[in-house]
Order: sequence, then structure tokens, then C-alpha cells
Amino acid sequence: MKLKQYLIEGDPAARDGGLDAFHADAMRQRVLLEALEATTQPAVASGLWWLRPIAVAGALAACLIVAVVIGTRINTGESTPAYVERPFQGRVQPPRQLQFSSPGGTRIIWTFHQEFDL
Amino acid sequence: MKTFRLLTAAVALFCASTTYAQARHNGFSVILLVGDNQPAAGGDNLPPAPGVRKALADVKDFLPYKSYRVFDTQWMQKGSARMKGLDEQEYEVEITDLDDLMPNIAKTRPGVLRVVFKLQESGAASIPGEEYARSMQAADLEKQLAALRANKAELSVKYGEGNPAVVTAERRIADLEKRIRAVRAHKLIDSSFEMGVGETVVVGTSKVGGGDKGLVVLLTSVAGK
Repeated sequence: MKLKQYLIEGDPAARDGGLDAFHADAMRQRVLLEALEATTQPAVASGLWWLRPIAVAGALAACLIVAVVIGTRINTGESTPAYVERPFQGRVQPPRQLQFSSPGGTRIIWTFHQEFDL
Repeated sequence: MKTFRLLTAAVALFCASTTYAQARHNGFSVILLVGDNQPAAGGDNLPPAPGVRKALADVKDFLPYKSYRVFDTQWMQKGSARMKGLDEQEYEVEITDLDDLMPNIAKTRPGVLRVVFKLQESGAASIPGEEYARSMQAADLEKQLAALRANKAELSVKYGEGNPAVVTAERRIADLEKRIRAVRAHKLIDSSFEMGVGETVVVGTSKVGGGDKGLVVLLTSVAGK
């Protein structure tokens, strides 16, 4: 009992007179207004409920397309070469050379050319 | 002091021998020939010099040709010269004495020349990478030549030979052939070797496997008197 008495005496709001009628009414109006707005928003969202599965289906379809494209690129085996070979006529082979001596002592130095034409 | 004298004597001996060797060499005789698988119709036109005849006789068994015909002859010191070949084809010959470029590096024997001999068709590419661009250019020119020949044939049928239009076409064909030859020009020979004074070295080139014809150069280092 004594404890209860102490608490009542120590309560700072116990001696507060509370809101006057005007402020109490303003607060009540405010609460009612917020409550009304909270009940109208789900109605708007429920109007777009069908968009959600379509968005999910679209995302899945996009993932599927990307996967198919990557798969075909990797598995065809017709990948483009890292370099393009030059045409055959562009490659010039170095000439081959032969040096020897005849029994008579004359030296012969002969060069073989792939493209020689006389 | 004794070492210094020995060194001086060695240097003097080296200089004297070099000067002696160089004094004995007077120049190069260059004879440009074509070797052919077919025998010569009217005999050969080889020069009578016994050294040249001997050199050709020596190499006859080693080369697959039955006849030789002289295109051009040239007397030259070191340096370059132009020589005429078949069908107005010109060749550039260049002879360099390595002892001029590197006089103090390992000269083998006195009286022996270290020669760099080069032969190329006139207008040959100076840079190796140029070959590809030139082959593409030649292909374009060949197309133009084919079109020009067809045009000339039509004109000949229409107006007859000797007509100014036909003559003009012929001249354009000749010019184009000359340009194609210049674009297709190759470096043929680039060899370095030693040769004694008075020696004849046979330098030549042909297709791989010999071909029907080969270009032969008889290079003789001629002794001075």
C-alpha cells in the first residue's frame, strides 16, 4: 500500500489536467484522418495485383533468352579465329642458298627462289 | 721498348700486306648469262676468255642447263651497276668488299677478298614487308592488263592493225607490262663469300628444282698489272 502511495505521489502526470476540449478534438480528427487514409491505400495497390506475376514472368523469360544465347555461342564450335591468316601469296618464303665447289675448283653459289621467273 | 718495336713492325707488316693485296686487285668482271634447258640454236655467244670458259666447263655437270647465252657484261669496281636481261628486264648488281666496311676484323688471308654480291630485278622492294602490298598491287594491274588486251583485240577486229586506236592500246599495254614487271621485281641473290684475285665464282639463281631457265653470273676478280 505504501508503495502504491509513493507511485501516485511521484507520478508527474497525476497532477496534469489533461488536454482541453479543443485540442482533444483536433487530435481525434487527426487520428481519424490517418486511419481513413490507411484504409484507402490497399485498395489502390489491390488494383495492380496482376502486374506482379507478369514482372516475374518477364524477368524469367529474359534470363532464359540470355542463357540460350550464351549456350549456343559456346557449343557451336564455329567460333571465329583469333587471327585471320593472310592470303598465301602474301607470304614470301626466304630463298635457299647452296655453296659448293666443282672438282675443277670453281665455286658455285646457287640461290633457289620460289617466285623466280625468267 | 723492345715490345714497342715489335708492335710497330707488326703493324707495318699488316699495312704493307693489305696495301699489296689491294693493289693487286683491279676490279670485277661481271658476265650475266641465262642457262637454258634447250640447246642453243646458233651456238653460244660466250666470251673467249679462258677463265670464263673453264668456269662454265667446270659447272656444266652440276647445273641442269644445255646452253648458255650472254645477256650483258660489265666491268666494275666495287659499287653498283645496271645490267640488261631478257625482254628489256634490267638487273641491279651490287658488289661490296667487306674489308672496306670492317677493315680491322679478322681478315683471313692477304690477297683474298671478302665479297658481298647482290643481284636484284630493277625496282625490287627495299623493305621485306613491302612484298605483300606489292603483290596486291600487281594483282590489280594484271586485271587492268587483261581488260586492256581484250579491248585491243576488239579494236583490231573493228579497225584493223595499225589503226591509231590500236597503236595507242598497244602502247598502253606495253606501259602496263613494264609497271607490272617493276612491281613484281624481286631480290634474287644476296651472297657473301671469299674470292682470290683472278678467281671466277659462278653465282646463280633458279626456281626450286632448277626450272627451265636459270640466271647465271660469272664473277671474276681481276688482277691489276
